[in-house]
Amino acid sequence: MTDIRDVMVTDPVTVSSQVPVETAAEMMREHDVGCLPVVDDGVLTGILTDRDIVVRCLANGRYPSATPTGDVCSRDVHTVGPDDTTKTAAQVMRRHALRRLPVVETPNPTGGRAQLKGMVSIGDLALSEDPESPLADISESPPNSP
Amino acid sequence: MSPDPVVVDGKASVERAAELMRTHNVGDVVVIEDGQVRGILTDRDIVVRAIAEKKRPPATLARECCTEDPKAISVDETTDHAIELMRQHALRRLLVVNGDQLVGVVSVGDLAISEDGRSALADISAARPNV
Repeated sequence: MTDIRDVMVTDPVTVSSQVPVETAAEMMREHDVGCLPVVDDGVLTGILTDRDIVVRCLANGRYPSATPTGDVCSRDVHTVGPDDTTKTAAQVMRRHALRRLPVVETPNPTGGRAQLKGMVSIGDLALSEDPESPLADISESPPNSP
Repeated sequence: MSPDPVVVDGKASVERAAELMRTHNVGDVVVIEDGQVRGILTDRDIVVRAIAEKKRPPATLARECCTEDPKAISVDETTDHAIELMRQHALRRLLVVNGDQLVGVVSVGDLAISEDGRSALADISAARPNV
């Protein structure tokens, strides 16, 4: 059984809730990720996906340069702890239809307000469970790369 | 595959495309011009190619941000062939056509379900993206 701490990314890119959505989008492009944990004073306060930006900012006619990340991110964050198993993470991902989970020191399934320790993705789990899976290498390809 | 793909005119703004993605609860739309497919536009394309470039969403066209000339696969082809095409070209989505008729879009997530029905990956990929 593999622990989350063995597969997680320990130094994930994060964004503050005060930062404009436009800047968060630049970070997503630069680091080639579709999801950023929102962290204020070291504490996880939300999660921002590329879909959140499109559906909650653009589709509502709001300007990305004038909208703080905190206004459009999801505040109800599901998390796991570093000592949880990859099986537990897979269950949380499946149950809540998520591809990435923040790893926090004191996991709280509903609140998630705790020190961020890392991020774990479906690709990290797929590789640790079955490195030969034909889907392991495409599941984490950048979306629709040109 | 997802049948009846949501389409948007190439000259529509990415703001309009975003509204369609919200209304239809999808992460991609097919961009059409003069009755022809020009490309596929995803929520990520909008973020990376419009917003991260500091373009104004109401004044940025779907045609400018979409991935052009998407690969197509016939509705009669196997899922194995679809996976092969995606791996070969590093794509997450393919158009599904019946002759010259667009009938759907197939994504990595759709294929994960049919190839690997019981895995966690399949369930997750099948689910809607974070709303």
